[in-house]
Amino acid sequence: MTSVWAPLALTAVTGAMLALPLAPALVEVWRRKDAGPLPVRGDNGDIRNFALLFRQRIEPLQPALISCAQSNSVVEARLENGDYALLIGKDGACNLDEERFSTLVLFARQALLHDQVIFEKDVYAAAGLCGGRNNIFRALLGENNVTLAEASQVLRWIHVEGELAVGRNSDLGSRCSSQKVIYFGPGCRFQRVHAPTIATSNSAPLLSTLSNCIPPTHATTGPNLGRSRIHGSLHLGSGEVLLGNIVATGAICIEEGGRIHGSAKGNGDIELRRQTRIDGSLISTGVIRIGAHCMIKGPVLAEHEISIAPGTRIGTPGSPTTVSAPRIRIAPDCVVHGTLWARLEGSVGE
Amino acid sequence: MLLYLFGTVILLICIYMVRHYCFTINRLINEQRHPYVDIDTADWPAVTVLIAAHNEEAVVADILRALLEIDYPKERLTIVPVNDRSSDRTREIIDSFVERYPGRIQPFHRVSGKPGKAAALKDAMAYVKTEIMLVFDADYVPGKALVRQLVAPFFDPEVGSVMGRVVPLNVGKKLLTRLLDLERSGGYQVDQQARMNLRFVPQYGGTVAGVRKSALEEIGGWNENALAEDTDLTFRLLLAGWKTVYENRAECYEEVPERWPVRVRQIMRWAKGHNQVMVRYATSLPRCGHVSWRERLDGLLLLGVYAMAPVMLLGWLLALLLFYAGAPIGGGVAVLALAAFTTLGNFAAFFEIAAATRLDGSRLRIRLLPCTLLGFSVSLVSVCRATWQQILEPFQRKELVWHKTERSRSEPVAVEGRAA
Repeated sequence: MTSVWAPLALTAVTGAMLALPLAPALVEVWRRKDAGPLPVRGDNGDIRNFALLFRQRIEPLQPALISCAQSNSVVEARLENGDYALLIGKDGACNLDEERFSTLVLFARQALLHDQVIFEKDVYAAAGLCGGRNNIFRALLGENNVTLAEASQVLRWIHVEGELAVGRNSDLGSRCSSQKVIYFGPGCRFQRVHAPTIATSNSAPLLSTLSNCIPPTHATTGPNLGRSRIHGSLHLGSGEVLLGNIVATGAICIEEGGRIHGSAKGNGDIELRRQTRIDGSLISTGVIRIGAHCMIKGPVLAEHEISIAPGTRIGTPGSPTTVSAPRIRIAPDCVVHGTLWARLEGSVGE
Repeated sequence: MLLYLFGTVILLICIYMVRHYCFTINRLINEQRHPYVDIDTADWPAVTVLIAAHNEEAVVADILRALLEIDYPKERLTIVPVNDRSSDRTREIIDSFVERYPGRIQPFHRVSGKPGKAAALKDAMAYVKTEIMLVFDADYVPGKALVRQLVAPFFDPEVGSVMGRVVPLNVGKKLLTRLLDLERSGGYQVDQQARMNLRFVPQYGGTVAGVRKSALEEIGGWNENALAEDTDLTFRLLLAGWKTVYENRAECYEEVPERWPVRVRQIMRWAKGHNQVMVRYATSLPRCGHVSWRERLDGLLLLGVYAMAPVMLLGWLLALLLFYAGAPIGGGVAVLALAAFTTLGNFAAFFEIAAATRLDGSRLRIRLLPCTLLGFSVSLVSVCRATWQQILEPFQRKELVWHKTERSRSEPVAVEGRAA
């Protein structure tokens, strides 16, 4: 008896020990708990997506918001999902005692906020909104012009259908967009910003654009321009002009008044001195330093950092573009048409 | 002599093992390079999208539908289905779309000529009037932002081609599809992205991909004699000073083979095509002075990935032979056993797959990891068989034959993407 059971037991135990590591695999093959396709990106990447979703969410409250505005009253309403919302129909300065709002806040009319008010939930402004100092918003959707006062903070996103003016030393945590124009004061911090015009100043005359200076072409990817490849660094002298796309295996330096009728790529740092002009894109694997009063038409990308000196214009109203790097430092008196995207940290100089 | 040969085999296997470890560690720890992913606003250039379709009645409607919904300026997007000598309803389906969406689709019905995707694309170049062209196989289902994601890198004048990430759609059908899903994850999420991070040679994969027309013309156009026109293009562009970039976030669904014979034929075609390219460029690449040393090194290792299958088999045969001959092979067998499974290039080593599933955030599919041994074994045998056939073919005066991958889709695709 013993002679039969011993080898059988040994075989069974050995078999079980061998099969044990395979058990989770066999269970997964059998039960198929994680057998669906991996999710892929299905959205269009529009910066306004969160704002549009929020607008959709508060749509049922619109009639109440209108009647609130007509009666000049403040009422509390409830959304379908059970969230409370404060509907404020008063015009001008909000004489509300709270310094901290823990519900959604919907302003029906022009609103003027006190200093140091904190909005823990999203804010909707049907008309204009003028913030106070040190206001903190979780998220803000403005249907008209919005002004954020000094040292304001937006934690998630802000979208404005009109003009957005951001006071000095404000911090816009993530997404910031406007359908018209965004003005940044000195010392502001940002990450992803999009508007037809982004100006790092509060003065309107800055908005003279490049449209008169750069002819409308679609040459940003460089068709028909040909490509030159430089082994080593490229140095373009003062006032020199280069026709075509250029790729340097090293750094690129363009002296004052230099111009490239095409795109430039440097496998190293790029330095543009004053008043240089690039008609295509400008791409670096390192750092890009853009001098004062330069003009660049296409995308500006750096894998480390971009610094932009005063007076520089990037993109045109008819041909908006993207400026992107992990870190972007932009001086006052600059204009970017399109997107300014600092993955880690963007800041406006003093 | 045999001992030296055995030692060389082990050395080669270890080189590939180290390569895969480097890729995995880089992907898990180091900073990731996505230099073009943030270009969301630009003066987008005109683009032609070529859809390679040979007997694709089961799938061609899905890709046309998806491309018509794409988020790209309509006046700058030309869709060209390349109907390559199809004998099924492919033509009829394409023409029905042309009728329904006038001006959006310019079909190219190819009725004669050399078989193969490269030959069809070569003939389709007459329809490409734009500087940038994208190429999709007919079984792919592009998402809304995909065209912009694939076009964005072309603002860099150094970029000659772009490759996106392929994600299997029919994962849950069979064990094979689940294994291929893991393999693709490892291959793209880890292998390709690590090569992008390290400034090596990301591979143009021939679909979910883009090519700059002027770069293609500079290197002499599509090589219709190439079985793997994608790998061939990668190396010709590299030798001509153009970069191929990989966009990990430009994801697109594909249909993977659901039957083992189809998979075996697919991998044999890839192996033969890749080996063709290896023979063609293995000597010229190291001598190419304007290509960086790291690109040359990675390029050479990339060229050799399919050659490693027979090398590995040779190693095991040598180990047996030497063991029974009483040769002092000592730890060599242990190293071989340990390293072999981590070596086979494009089939993704198990730790690459494990890293990829973690990066993808999918928790349970990692349980299937032991089953990849099955896929590995089938791939090993198929690649060895393909290599053997390829060695014999010149003596048998046989021409290389292009095998199309069969499709299994029976219903239209409706895929929900994740939110922004």
